[in-house]
Parts: sequence; structure tokens; C-alpha cells
Amino acid sequence: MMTSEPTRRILAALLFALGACGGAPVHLHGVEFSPAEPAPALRLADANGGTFDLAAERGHVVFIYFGYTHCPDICPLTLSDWAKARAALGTKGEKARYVFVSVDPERDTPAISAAYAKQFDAAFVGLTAAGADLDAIKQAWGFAVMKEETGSKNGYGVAHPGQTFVVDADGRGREILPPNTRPADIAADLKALLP
Amino acid sequence: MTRPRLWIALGAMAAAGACVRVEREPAIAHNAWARAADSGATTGAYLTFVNHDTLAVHVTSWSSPDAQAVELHETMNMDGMMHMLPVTDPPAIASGDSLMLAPGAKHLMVIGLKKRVAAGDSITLVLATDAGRSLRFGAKIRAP
Repeated sequence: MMTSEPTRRILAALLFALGACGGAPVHLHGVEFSPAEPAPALRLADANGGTFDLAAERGHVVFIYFGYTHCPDICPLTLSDWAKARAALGTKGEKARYVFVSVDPERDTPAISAAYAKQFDAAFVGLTAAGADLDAIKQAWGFAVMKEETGSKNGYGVAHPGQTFVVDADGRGREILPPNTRPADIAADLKALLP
Repeated sequence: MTRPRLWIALGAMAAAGACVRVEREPAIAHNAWARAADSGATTGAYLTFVNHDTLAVHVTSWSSPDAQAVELHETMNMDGMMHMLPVTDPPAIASGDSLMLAPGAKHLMVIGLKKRVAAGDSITLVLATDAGRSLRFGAKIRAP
């Protein structure tokens, strides 16, 4: 394609500007935060007597899902897809954190949530949000949780957000992945967001 | 009957039996699988149930000798909130049609596993139809 001199200059300027911004714009598979904004706080006691603090995870991409361990379908599906994405990326997949937060403190202790998450991958983190912590998280992250009595022998259900929240290595919320996102797309987004 | 004739008769009967066995079952469960889980836990099971019968079939109940109970549930995304509700009306599967149970949609909730199940194991599932038929089949366990 022939381009005139002014057009070439504009293209060159654009390419320079993109280079200055760190490369071509990243295309992600979820709903992107535009502009990216600092992620809300997430600080919870873990099962080992320590604390998981999202603010301390700078340098890592962090995937966060709010669910419950009595959920036999969409929660294990999401964590299973994370595990597939992590495995597909090899050592690059190790540069992210994968955090499952139970919003069902009545049944899920921190130990139960931790054991549940580790079924999918030993590196996964399982936490439980309860009381004032849960209220603050719901408010800050912008979701609701509802207990649903369905008559099931599995006990009550918990309506919860189906999306995965993705925080980049600078602690900024970058996108919300919808439920059923393919492992290949999760892996692609992680790769794109790695520093 | 002489011995050669007896053998011929037995051969014919065996052939007839073989023909009967290859007749298509009225209903078949394909690709049944469930996620690995601990003893006492609840897991999800998935399959495709195909109705080869000339009449519609209603699945009236599900069970398993390997669990306390089995229920049909549906995961529904309502404005970003995930709800999981029991399917109370027995699903009708028209002649030649199928019922697909898949992750994130309609699925079987296998409640209170009687043993820990790991990838490579299998559990038995049983479904009953309104025609009084009972179909028993295995579901392979996959990594969680």
C-alpha cells in the first residue's frame, strides 16, 4: 500500500505513542475497566493463622471468585477452568494468584475453603468472608449474596456473583470475566496482563 | 437330536440372541461423568440422555447407590448473579430427542457421596422414567 508522506508521519507518531505506552492496547475477553482503577481492598484471615492481603500482591495478576463450597456446578467449573488455564501457561501461570472467597460463612470455615480451593490446584488460595468483612467486601466490590431455601437435600443455596474479578500486577481492576469463560481465553488474558 | 444337529440348533439360537442384543435400547445415557470430591461432599454429574423410543419420556427420579441423594438442578445467570434451583417438573424428552446435562446449566447434584471419588473412579447413577423403566449406568470421575 502506498502512503503519502504526511500519512506516514502520522502512522509513525502513532506507533511511537503506542511504544511509549508499553505496546499495542491489550484486548481482554471480559468486560474491561476503562480506565483501569485501583481494586477494592480484600484482606481476610487465612486457614494458617495468617492474612491474605490483596494489597500485598503487587507484581502478580490476581483472579478472584466469590462462591461457596456446597456449590457443585458453577464454582467448581470456574476453578477447574482456572486450573486448566494455569496448567496451559506452564511457569507463566505461576505468576498469578488464584483466590476463591466463600461467601457462605455459616458452612465454610477458612479451613474448608482452603481445602476446597486446593482440590483444583495446590497453589490456589481459599478464604472465607464473614460478618463485617463480608459486608465491606460486598459493598466495595459491588455485588450481593442471597441465601436461597430450595428444599434440596444439599441444604440452602447461595446466589452469588458468577464473574471472576481480574486485578493486574499494579493492583488495578482490569476486567470482569463472565461465567463459563474458556480456559484458553483466561490464559490469553493472563498472558496479556503479566508484567 | 444328533450331536451335529444340536450344534446347528444352538448356533442358530445364539445368532438369534445376538440379533436381539444389538437392538437399540429405548433410552441411553452417553458420556456420563462427575467431578472428583471427598466422602460426604456434593458433586456435579453430567451426561446426555437420548430417547430412542417412539414415545416421549419423562425422567421422574434420579438416584445413586454411591450417594445419599441425587437431584436435578439448573444453574441460572440472572443479571450476573448465579442461582442454582431444583428442577421440579420432570423433564420431558420427545422421541428421538435428548436431554443434555452440562456444567453451568442443568446438572445432577450428587449429594452426600458415600466414599471419596478420584479421577479414574466411577459412580453408578440410576434414572427412572414414567414408563416404569429404570436405567442404570456408570459416570466416570474426572479431576475436579
